[in-house]
Amino acid sequence: MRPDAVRGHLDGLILAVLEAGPRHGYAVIEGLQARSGGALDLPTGTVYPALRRLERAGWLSGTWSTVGGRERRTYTLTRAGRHALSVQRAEWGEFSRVVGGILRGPEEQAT
Amino acid sequence: MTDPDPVDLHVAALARRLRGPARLRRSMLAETRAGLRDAAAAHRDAAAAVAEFGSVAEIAPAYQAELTAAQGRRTALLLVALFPALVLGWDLLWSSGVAWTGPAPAAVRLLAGVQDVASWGITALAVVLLVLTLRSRADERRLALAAGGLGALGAVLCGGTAVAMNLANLRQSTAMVAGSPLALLAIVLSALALVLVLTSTARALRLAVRPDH
Repeated sequence: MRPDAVRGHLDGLILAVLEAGPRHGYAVIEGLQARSGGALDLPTGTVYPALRRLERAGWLSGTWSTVGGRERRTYTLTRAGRHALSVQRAEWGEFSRVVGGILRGPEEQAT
Repeated sequence: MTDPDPVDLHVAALARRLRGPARLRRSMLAETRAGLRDAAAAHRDAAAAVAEFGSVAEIAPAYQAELTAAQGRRTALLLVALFPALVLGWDLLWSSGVAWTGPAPAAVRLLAGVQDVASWGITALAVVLLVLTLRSRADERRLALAAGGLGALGAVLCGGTAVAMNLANLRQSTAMVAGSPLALLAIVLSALALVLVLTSTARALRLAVRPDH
């Protein structure tokens, strides 16, 4: 998938990966790649500043801690972040329903 | 001699491009280095981890945006804290009896009024900016520009009226400072507060007008 197609949705994708529990930066990247089946071809460097931006918005809280003997910054979804995720899910559902309905070919529409 | 580590080289190149609050900058770079090391371990290849990360030219603007936003927020926070503190601190001092002994000239009373209105106006606008910095999609350069501009305006208005008031009423001001060490301390602290505002303001404006991001 082209990176510019993903960019506008990166916030929601990151929030979704963190829904299951706290993760550090590289684990978020791994989560994005795993959940996209490897189809998400985004420069991984875009994820770190996005995490900080989401933290600034109050959607994530980040703390430094020692994981496996190394310093890592771990992010947790906040209550506001859960709400933002549910809003993004609803908006995406609406968008994909509308655009999908228009893009569907005539044969598909007949069935 | 060993070859330089690609991860260290890449993080150093990124660091050279970034300006802004030192602690956040350090924290973001340390996080990036740890993430790149994780990626290098996962791929068993540091060069692959760096390639996947993206070039410095491609990635640095997003990092810089966060640093600029943080400086804008920091400047706004300083304005929200310092301007009311200055007004309330001086009110407290006046009401505790450290004051001019005679009636102030009309021009001085007018300047005092201007200063009060300016202080609370700057505070109110800074609160608005602070709330805007909470939005993830806010334009960070505009916010930094607004916070810097507001701080500069506040420092000029409040510092300017303070100097003008004391010059217009020089004899009583001198007597007040001579009679009370507290008044002298308040003047020194107020001057320090204005220097802090101007420093933070200059930093915010510098990041807001940087041509390379």
